[in-house]
Amino acid sequence: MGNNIHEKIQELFVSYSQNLPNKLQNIQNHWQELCENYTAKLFEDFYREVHSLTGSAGTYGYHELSKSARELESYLKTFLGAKVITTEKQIAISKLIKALLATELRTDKIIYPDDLTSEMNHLIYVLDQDSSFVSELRKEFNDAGFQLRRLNNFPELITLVQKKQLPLALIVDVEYLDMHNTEQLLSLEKEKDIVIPLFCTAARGDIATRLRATRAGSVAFAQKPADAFYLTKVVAQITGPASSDPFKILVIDDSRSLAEYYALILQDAGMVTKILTNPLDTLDAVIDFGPDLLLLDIYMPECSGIELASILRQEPKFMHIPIIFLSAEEDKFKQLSALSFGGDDFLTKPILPQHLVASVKSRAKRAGIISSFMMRDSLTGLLNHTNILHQLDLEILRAKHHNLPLTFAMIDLDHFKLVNDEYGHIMGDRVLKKLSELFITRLRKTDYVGRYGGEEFAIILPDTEAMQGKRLLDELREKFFQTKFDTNGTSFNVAFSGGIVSLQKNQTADQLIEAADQALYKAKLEGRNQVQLGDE
Amino acid sequence: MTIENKLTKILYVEDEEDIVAIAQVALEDIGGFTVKYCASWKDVLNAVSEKFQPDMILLDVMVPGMDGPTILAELRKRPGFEKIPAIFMTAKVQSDEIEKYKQMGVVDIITKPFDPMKLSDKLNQIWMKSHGQ
Repeated sequence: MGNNIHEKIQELFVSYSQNLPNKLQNIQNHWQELCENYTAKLFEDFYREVHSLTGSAGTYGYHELSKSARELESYLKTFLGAKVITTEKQIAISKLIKALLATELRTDKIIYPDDLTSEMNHLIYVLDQDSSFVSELRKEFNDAGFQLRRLNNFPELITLVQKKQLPLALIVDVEYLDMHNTEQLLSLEKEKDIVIPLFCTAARGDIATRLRATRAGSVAFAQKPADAFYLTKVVAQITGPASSDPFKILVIDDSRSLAEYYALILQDAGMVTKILTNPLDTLDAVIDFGPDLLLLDIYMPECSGIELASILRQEPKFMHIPIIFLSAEEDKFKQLSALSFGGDDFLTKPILPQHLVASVKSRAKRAGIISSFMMRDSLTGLLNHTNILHQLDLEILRAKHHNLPLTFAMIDLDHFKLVNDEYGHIMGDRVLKKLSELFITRLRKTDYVGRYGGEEFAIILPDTEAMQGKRLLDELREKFFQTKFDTNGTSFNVAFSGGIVSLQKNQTADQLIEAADQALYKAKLEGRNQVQLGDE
Repeated sequence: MTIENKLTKILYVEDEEDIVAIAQVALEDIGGFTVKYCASWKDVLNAVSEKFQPDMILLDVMVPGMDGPTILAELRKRPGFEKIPAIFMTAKVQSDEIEKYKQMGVVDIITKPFDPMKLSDKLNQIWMKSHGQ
């Protein structure tokens, strides 16, 4: 059986490849005809032709082609049934077709969606002349759970990237980033469609040097003598679990097919999308979906994109979400005026897929990094006091909205002042860091931890019952208590106490915190190193 | 070995010829199934009138004219077709769409492009699962 079947399939693939140029030529010809003489029926046939290409190209291994065709198809869909297609829309379609025809006819190994696997690594590449700095980095990064690999020169980095041996992050002395090297790295990344977070170190902190770092796309800049400990925290923050989650984009446009078209392009670029055709549903959607960025059409009947942006900006919680306006508005003055109402960017329709993706990605990424720095405690990387409280407000709203349980806990280290007094503040910081790491690794992606005070932590467990939460915290408590901290020839252990409660009907955030506090107090009174469940 | 509850006859609704060509090898040559190919609702009606009673229905979601889900809904109204297990074939879906499709009365979703070498195994697995209940 074997050979015969493989031969048959092989024949089909060959025949498809031979026919492909014809298919593409037909598409081009039919589009020409349409431009000269448009009828809705002809357009429908044309649409089906493109649809047919989308389907078959993927099956026969032409991935890039299938992707291009799908984007074209999705855009064409928005015109089905139209009596006429304006010249500017024709130009937009022609551009997409040109992109389609320019796609390299390359068959990649067919990736069947079921086969996809993902890998996480903890490897960091370092390129730096200073050996003692590198060993310092190595020690700190190893402590934080990363592996460091020192590279000898820039060409070695390029070779590794070409071979797709990608690290989690790069730490490079800016000395290595001259124009040529920078250019090489950036175009290689573009070609492979990857982004490796880059952190630069430098002997000097003047603007010219910082400019070099920025031009290379550096996320952070550390002037030497650089604090290795600080670098580990920054790298961990940027590359931590949160940043490997895809961006969530909320698309709001009263035309469903147009909204689906934008959503498709963003999904193809690896983002997660949600569509709204009624702008009045926005607040609920923002609370529910928690988007990283909003894509808003300006002209909508119920409420304009501009009004929507103003409403969102009135709410402190939503002030930082980037907003991109979409519109056919070409007038620069009107565009600027729109931006003054709270938008961050303006894209003019019709939009080329790559422009949309680039704008959205860069805005979402920067906003993520900024809010990550602003919202986090610098020692532990946990949410800071203000932001864990903000998050609690949001989670309470969500829990009430969906009628799901919510559990909240207050944690306080036992006898922490003694640790600082006896072993010094550096050890004290280590203890805090270790507890934070434990929280981050053991809690779920949907849980939130914040540093509430000097030695106090707050934990939000959405969709969790109090008993479940107590079990989880007790496990953490045990694990932490067993951790040995070594210093100066001696070692010690630290415990924590906790109070845990679940959200009651009609309870406010303040009342919830108060209840958790009382449970925590009880834990301390009853001997510490325990987690107490609050009274219902 | 009981022959009774084996998957033998498939009704396949797909309009894209190039895909049908590959599916034919996957279903007939590799899987050994008897397949009726339909490119539209009209073809489906013909198959029904010829008294073709399939064990399973495979539908592409985006067939021009009447889409996959609609065809399935109409088919279910015919006597004898109410309970036949059906599967949608579709390109890249998000998880909430899968839920939506399942609510339309299919037992599973197969993503496109599908591996022609594994398609028949997959169908047999789905068949066993839906008969295990």
